[in-house]
Amino acid sequence: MEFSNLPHDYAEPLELVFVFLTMLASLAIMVAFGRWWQR
Amino acid sequence: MAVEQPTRPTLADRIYDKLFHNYIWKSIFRTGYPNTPRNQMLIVATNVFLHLHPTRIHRTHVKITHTYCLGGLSFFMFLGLTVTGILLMFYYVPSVDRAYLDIQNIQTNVQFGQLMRNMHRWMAHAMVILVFLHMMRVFYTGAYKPPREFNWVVGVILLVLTFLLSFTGYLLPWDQLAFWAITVGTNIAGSAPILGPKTRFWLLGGFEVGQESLIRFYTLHVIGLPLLAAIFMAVHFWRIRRDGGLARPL
Repeated sequence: MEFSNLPHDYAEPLELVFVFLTMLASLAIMVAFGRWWQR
Repeated sequence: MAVEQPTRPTLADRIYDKLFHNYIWKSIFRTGYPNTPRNQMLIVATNVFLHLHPTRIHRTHVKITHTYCLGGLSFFMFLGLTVTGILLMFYYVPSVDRAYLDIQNIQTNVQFGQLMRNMHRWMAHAMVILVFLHMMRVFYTGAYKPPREFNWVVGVILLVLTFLLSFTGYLLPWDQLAFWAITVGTNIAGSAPILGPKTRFWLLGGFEVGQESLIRFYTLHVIGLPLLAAIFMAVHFWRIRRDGGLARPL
């Protein structure tokens, strides 16, 4: 299934989910790095 | 034994006093020249490069509800926008013939292109919201009051830079929404008295939105404004420490 071919109703909320998860993941990586730095 | 008479301050003394012993100067330069043990100690203890962590932290500052990390989250958004922005620059050419097609290409052909573009878009929205909430938090906790008034001014400049970054980025997809949003936005600037038309011309690089406007907005968006914002952010973070850390609860 091609992501870009998904019906519009589907694709947009799914994009938002991916964006939100990537933002959280990168924030988590930065927080983990900060904790390691200050260990 | 002769009693020493107090001497009248000379003109030079009075000018020196006016220049360096006033409210504005003291709000920017916290400690004086390190010629006394107290000033020497203050300069070392409040130096963010010598001591990453402050010498003392108030009990309330440890609680997350004191700041909700809003400033830090805004900075995180700025970092994310820098990374995704650089990745988008690999595929985007700011030309009226290519801009829209390049965006379509990023959305459909480039690996993770859609995610990168959406990250850039949503992080930009989030940054504007977070910066605004951060300003509200600072206002409602009274953290703008002396001795933090200089940092408040730096913060207001950063707020304006964030809005300008958001505004200049809006034109780059070169679709109908972008075109008319910038047309309306610059017309608003153009309706200002006296300097209005000049400002509009300066913003657009011409009398209407076109290639000159696109390259102008692109250059400001990718180098001019982020560079300025980074410089002001460095000053902003450094001043937090210089002004004695976070503000205490009222």
